[in-house]
Amino acid sequence: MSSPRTSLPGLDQVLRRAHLSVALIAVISSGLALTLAGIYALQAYAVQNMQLVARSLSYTVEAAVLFNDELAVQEAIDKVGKREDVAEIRVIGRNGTPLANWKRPQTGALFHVESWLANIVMPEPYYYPVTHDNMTIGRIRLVPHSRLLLEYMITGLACILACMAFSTLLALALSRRMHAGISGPLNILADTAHRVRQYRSFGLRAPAADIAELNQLNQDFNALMDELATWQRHVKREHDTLAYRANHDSLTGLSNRSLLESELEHAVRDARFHSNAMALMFMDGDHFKEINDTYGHGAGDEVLKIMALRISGQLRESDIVARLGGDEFAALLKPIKHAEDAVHIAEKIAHQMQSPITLPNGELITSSVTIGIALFPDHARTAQELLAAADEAMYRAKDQGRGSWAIGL
Amino acid sequence: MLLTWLGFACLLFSQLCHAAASDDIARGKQVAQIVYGIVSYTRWPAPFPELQLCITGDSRYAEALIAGVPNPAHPRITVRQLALHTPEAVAQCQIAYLGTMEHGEREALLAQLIGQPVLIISEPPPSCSAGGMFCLLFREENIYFEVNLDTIARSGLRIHPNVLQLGKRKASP
Repeated sequence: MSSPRTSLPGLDQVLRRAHLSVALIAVISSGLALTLAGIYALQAYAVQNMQLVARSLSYTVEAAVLFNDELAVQEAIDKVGKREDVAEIRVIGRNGTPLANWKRPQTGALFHVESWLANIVMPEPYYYPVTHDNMTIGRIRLVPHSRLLLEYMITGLACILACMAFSTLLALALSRRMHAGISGPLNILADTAHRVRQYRSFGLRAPAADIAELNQLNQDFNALMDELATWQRHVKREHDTLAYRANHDSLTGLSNRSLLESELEHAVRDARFHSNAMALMFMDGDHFKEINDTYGHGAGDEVLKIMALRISGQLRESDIVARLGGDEFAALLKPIKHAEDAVHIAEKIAHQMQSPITLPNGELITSSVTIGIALFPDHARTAQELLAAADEAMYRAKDQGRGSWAIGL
Repeated sequence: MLLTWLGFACLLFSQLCHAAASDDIARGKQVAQIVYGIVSYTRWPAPFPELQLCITGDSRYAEALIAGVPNPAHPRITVRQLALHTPEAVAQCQIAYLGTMEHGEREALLAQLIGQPVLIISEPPPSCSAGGMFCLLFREENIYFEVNLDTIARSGLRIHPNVLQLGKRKASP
């Protein structure tokens, strides 16, 4: 999966980021909401607690306040202050004279944090009357303490952190799983596409995936591959046709000069390797120009076709017959065992040509060919030499008279 | 000249007298507060629609007690100055405030009162070990009281434990 575009984030990164952000947002928001709700509940609890403390304290100090007994009040609030979650207690007697005062000692490392928190979150100092026989004889002033609140907040924060760690791990695991689920089929698809590109194997297909979108993608890919395969076949057919046309004579269907020459090069190399012999024949139609002039080009073409058939008919599958142009033909016989075989075939072709040809207009004409034969390796060592030798032999045969044959020197 | 001096002396004296008197008034208020406080925490075996507070002996705070306004929610309290020499007189009183009196007289009076459903509050001296019920203690700023639980138990009165606790705590040191 190594790609040169490393600056782009990978699928796994995107998934991880999405999972992480969702998990963290969920944890933080729910944690904050819970903490706020908890603080609210604690505040309510603190108020209730203070009311309770104040009520019981009021009952405890009632007699002492009535008798103005400061020491007794002090003793009572000392006891209560140590036991309850209050920061400060003040008892005020009749006429507003302060009777006793208790303050939580400034101990503990977190004292200042606690009092700061209490100032922010906790309710105002709480006043409660001291009554005796339905008459108010004094007042109690309570300042709440935030020890519980701090503990709660620390616990809450720790819980949030723990949840964050847990959900981070969970999100990572989930994103890895999801990544495997998505990237598996994608990897297969990418691999398939790569192989298709590299080896032009349009028959490859992506397998079905478990995810609907990926499955759709694979199906589309496969459909595209089908179309590409069809297109490829079409192009190949076109190409083959064009190649055939480039190498063959359209009138007779025989090979043309360039194909013959290239085949000749191959055959020479082959024959040299296997120490085989072969023969090249050049054939030139006699009086062809007169047929054309007398009966028209249609008749000429007909004659050429029949000539091609007659020449091919005397040769083997492995031999190559070519029309070099006009009424000039060539045949490559490979391999041959004896020079006589080539001569024998040439005679047979010459003989075949003597039978009359029916023209499209119904007239009968007789044609003939002059044949030059060159043998490899007897008359030439290369393809060019062989062509030249066959050409030379043919001109020699023409000198001897039309319809005759000659062999290379 | 002499007249001027006399006048000045008189003025000074009256100032002193006035100071003493205002001191007495403050104390009297405190005494009344304590006495009526104790009363408010006390329950008699049978409820009375109206309570009789009988002041016997010499007390500087008799007037303050008479003037002191007890809680209107309480049963009405009438205050009388009365020598409690006869059982009949004692039977009329639910609260006995003992001022200063001779030792013998006090002994005799206490002998009569103890065992009766009468709340006894006494001025110093002497202390409650001599047989009182609630014995006031005058300090510079405030008034405290001692409690004699034995006498209270014998009287059949029910006193709120908070009050007993206050008195007991003061008596112990």
